[in-house]
Amino acid sequence: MKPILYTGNIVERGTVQSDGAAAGKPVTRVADGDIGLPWVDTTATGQRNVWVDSGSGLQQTADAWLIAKGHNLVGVPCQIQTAPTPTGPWTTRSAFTPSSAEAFRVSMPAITERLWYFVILSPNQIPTFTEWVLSKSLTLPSGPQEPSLVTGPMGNIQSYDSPAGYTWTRKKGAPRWEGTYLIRDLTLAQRGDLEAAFSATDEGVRPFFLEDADGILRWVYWLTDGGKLAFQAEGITRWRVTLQFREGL
Amino acid sequence: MKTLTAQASRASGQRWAELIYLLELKLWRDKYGPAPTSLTLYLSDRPRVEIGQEWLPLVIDWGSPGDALNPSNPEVTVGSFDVTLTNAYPIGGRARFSDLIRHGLNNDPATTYDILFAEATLRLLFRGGVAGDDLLLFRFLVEEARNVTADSLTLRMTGVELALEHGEDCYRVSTENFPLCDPDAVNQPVPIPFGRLTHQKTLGATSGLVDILTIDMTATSPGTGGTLPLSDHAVVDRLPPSGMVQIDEEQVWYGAKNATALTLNSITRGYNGTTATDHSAGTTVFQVLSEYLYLVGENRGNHRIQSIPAVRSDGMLLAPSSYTVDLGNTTLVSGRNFAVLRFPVKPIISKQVTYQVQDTITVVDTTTVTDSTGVLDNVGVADSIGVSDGIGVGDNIGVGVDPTVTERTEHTTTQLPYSVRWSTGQFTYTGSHYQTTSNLTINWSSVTGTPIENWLTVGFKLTACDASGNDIDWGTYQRAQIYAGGKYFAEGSNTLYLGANYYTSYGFALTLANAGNWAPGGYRLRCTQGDQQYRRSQSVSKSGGAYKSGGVGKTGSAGKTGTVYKTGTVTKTGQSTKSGSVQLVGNSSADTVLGEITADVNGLKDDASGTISGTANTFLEVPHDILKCLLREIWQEKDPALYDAASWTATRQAQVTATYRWALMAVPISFAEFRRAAGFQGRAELYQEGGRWVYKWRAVTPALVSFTERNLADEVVVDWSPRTELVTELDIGYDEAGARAGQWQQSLTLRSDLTQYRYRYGLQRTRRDLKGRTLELPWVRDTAMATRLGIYWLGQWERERLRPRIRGFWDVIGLDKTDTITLNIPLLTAYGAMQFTVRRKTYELDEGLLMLECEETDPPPQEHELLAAYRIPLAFSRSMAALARIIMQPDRAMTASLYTRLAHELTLPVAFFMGWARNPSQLAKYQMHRTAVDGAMTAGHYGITIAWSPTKAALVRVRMVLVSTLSALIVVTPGLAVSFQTSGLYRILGTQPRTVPGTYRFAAVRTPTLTGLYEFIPRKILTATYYIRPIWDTAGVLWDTAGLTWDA
Repeated sequence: MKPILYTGNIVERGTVQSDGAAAGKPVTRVADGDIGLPWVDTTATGQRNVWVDSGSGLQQTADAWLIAKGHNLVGVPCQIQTAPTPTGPWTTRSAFTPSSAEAFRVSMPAITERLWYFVILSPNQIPTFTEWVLSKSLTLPSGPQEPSLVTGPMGNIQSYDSPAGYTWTRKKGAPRWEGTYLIRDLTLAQRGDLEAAFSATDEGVRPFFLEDADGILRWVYWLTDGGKLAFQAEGITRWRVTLQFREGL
Repeated sequence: MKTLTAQASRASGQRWAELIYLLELKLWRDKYGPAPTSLTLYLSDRPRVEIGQEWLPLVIDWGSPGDALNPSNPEVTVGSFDVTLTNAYPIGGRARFSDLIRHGLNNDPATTYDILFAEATLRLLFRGGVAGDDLLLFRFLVEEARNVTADSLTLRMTGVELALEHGEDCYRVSTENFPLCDPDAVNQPVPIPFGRLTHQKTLGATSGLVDILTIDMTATSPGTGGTLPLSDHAVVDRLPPSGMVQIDEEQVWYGAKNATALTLNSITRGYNGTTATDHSAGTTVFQVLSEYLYLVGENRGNHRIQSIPAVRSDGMLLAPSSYTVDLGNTTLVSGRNFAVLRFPVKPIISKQVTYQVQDTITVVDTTTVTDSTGVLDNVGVADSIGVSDGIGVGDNIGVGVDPTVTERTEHTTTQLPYSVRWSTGQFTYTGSHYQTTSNLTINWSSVTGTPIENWLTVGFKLTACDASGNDIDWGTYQRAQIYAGGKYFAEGSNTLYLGANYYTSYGFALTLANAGNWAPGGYRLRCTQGDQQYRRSQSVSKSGGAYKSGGVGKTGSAGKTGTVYKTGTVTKTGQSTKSGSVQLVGNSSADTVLGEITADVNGLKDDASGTISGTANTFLEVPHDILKCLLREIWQEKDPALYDAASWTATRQAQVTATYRWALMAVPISFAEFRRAAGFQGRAELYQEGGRWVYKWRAVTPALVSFTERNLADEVVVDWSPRTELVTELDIGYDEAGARAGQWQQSLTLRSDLTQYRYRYGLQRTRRDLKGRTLELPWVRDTAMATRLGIYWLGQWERERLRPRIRGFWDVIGLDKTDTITLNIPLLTAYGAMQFTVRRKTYELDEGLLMLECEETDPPPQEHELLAAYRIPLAFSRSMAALARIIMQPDRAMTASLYTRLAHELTLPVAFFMGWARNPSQLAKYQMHRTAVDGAMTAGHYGITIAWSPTKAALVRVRMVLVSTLSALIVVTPGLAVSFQTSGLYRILGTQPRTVPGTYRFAAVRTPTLTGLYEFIPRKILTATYYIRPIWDTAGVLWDTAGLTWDA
């Protein structure tokens, strides 16, 4: 499968608001890049909304929306609506009802608008989730070529050998995934798209969703050398690049 | 060691683990202000939801928090912790952590806080644990934020002692509250008294101003309206414009003052019913007030000073009626509760010695004195004595004239009666009458002397005569009259006063008033009496003998000058005896003294709930009680959850058993200083462990963890305690003087038995290796306690100790400071079984390891060679002439011996041998009968009889070998009785318990694991034999001489 990058999160770039937020669980958490910290609403009654405003006169484009794992929206109908002004009118752009607490991605036609709304139509418990991504997806032109490498799970552990040779091992955190994809035969336009996607993460600083070659959504960081992508020429007007990602916790 | 829950215990016992650290940070804004606000942050190294709380992933580097007890003394190294946080993460409504720190214009009341003294707690949780499974490792206070960048910052934290170090709350006397306070009391802290204190200084809160008189005064000068010169401008300036002062016993009113001239003006002497008297320059002048107040101490919380049994001025006891004790005054200073002495008059004392000599001595002197000395006296006597002569003179000399007697002189010219006849022709007319021309003259002999008074007495008869001269009747003839000296005399006797004149002749004339009818023959005058009666004065010469009788009084002084020489020999032989008594009674001259007011104080007692001691109103004198009270009331650590109750309870029990008591006036000192002093004097350490206050009695305890090479992260590194830390001679100063800080009222010196110790390279120590140290025990008043403490600390310092450093894993995560461990590693095999106490503990959080620094403890008890301390107080009957305590102490050689006089009664299943008496001068005469009757080396009952030395100076130690299990059994011989205040191990009275007349005390058994201190102290001498099983005391408490009484 061709890996898909979901960088340039609109939610990170606008002002996020919600109908409510529990104490200590602000709505800014839905775009803080940390899939460990959830936003928590204040009530499960009625329709609940989380929205991002790009600002007056500004519009952003997205063709997919994603919710990180750990949400509690299983069986709850959700919609993406847009509006040109805070007072409407509102247009429903996409709808989805999650079937598991895992991360999910919903594609839709590319839309450019100022205000984006994540609408939870009738929650069955107080809504909570950690990350909301509205992104313009980039599907790599091909699947990983040899010698691409996937490492995972990669443990975060520390081991000691006592003087008597006994091993004491300490788990310091959750395991992670690491993938090294060699993408070849990139046209100049495809190279430009990849560069734009890289820049949309502030040159690798911001985490983003990657749908890996196995079709699994992963929350990853770029693993780049010095914050740069290195394209090697491959014949005339063709390029190849090695992309390295590490799962973020 | 911390108690782990089942989950934590199971997790820590595995060689794999997931450790989770949780940092709770509470930021305060205006924490001590009227409206404090706070923000609690829950931080960890990744987003977590643990123990019911979400933890934010701000921690970048956990660092290595740790703290320590100094290896061989109770000083504490306060915990410290540097944790690095990300500064790029939004938190608390701000873009980054550093934005929360209030500083400069960043002062939004809703989102900025004070970083200093932010409260932090660090917890550890094994993965899967829930609330309650977490271990609280530390409580910290943030000192500062350091190395702040846009990405990160480091919070430097210190143990909670940081806030206590100078956080004591103590009132200091101020002139604001007490304008008339004693200048020496200004800014002095009002102490909090504990224990039984004597001669403690009080603070003159309202004691009046005091100055010095600069002139000599008499009773009249300076007089009313005059001035009274003083010496101190500050005093004169502070005195009211008019008022009353007192000099000696005289009160003086002044109507004005001059602070420049230092005078009190317009004075009235002898005011208020007092008497104006003389006063010398330099005499104290003090202000007279309606009441004088002296602060004794401060009550804290609900703890009140128990009593003030005595008050002194300049060391002299004052009559209780002269003052009022107010043990709980809350009105003098708002929010304070003082114990106050109130005097209605200035508490001056008049020092006067009353003496009287009553000599009832009877001297019986049977000596014989033979004096052959000659006295040469060339002393000149100057006699200025006046003589008063009251002698009457008896005079038998005849005196010619008595001037006081009226004398009589008869005429000498004519014998009476005398008759003269005048014829009529002999009368001549004088113009008024006819008078004879010649007088009748009477002559008297002249007399000597000077007349004083004289009376002339003459007697007359007049007749008419015929021509023949015969008397005829007057008929019609003119009657004649007698005239002399200008007056007429009547016929008959006449007396004429002549004054101071004496006449040798006096003439009388005969007159006729109208000689119309003359008698024919004339007239006849007959004089029948003519004498002078007179008094006179004249010189008298006395001759003959006179005599004096009566007494002579002599007054005045006589001086004697010159030299008296005595030569020769005096010999006194025989005996004299003197018996009776001499008593001195009477009064010396009075001396008025304005002395320092001191008081005996029985300090604070527990409140009605027994918050400190567990028993309501307990007098607080056990170190535990005092320490806890101060921690709660001065340093405000009041939450019971802040205390490790088990350690406090156990330490109190140990201190009560060891009869440890303090007496001190608590005044502000730094917390570190206080903790150090408390540690030395209470033989217990106060420290933070797991976020709670632990108070731990220093004693050998069973090892809790054994380290082998299996559960060590690294090789063990071992050092020895430095040679320079060794102490072999300990000078102990104790019982600090009440009025003189740092002055000791008692002291003693202890020395090590150098023969027992060698340097680690084999050389035996000598006297030259003596190294002294001073141990200050200001709150210890009791010699026995000071001795015990000294012996304990000397025992800690007199030999070198191993100090291993080890790193362990999470299986020992619950180890606390002062826990005992063993190291079963080849490196130490050569030294035999040893135990170590954890003194420093550092969590290497990022590594998941625990670093420990340890100190070698005293040797642990051995099962088959019980080298421990024994305390066996024994009471013996008169016949055995002994009352003793025997302290059995390990690792000492013995040179004394014991014997039993009643060996036949005893079963000695083990071998006893006596040990060394600590002080060579106290070596003495103990012998022990070394008889193992049954020869079996088994446990049994021990009877020890001691013959005591006449000097009673004894200290012996018994080393007891082979006791496997210990229990106590006391056998009292029939007819006698013993009772015990406590139950427990000693309740069994052997096979023949009896009735109970005495009072005896047993310490409770602390644990069944061969730790503890037990003693049996008979309070009364009974004719009994006590069989006492020794109980060992690993704490090494030695005996003391206090309480020893002699069987009278």
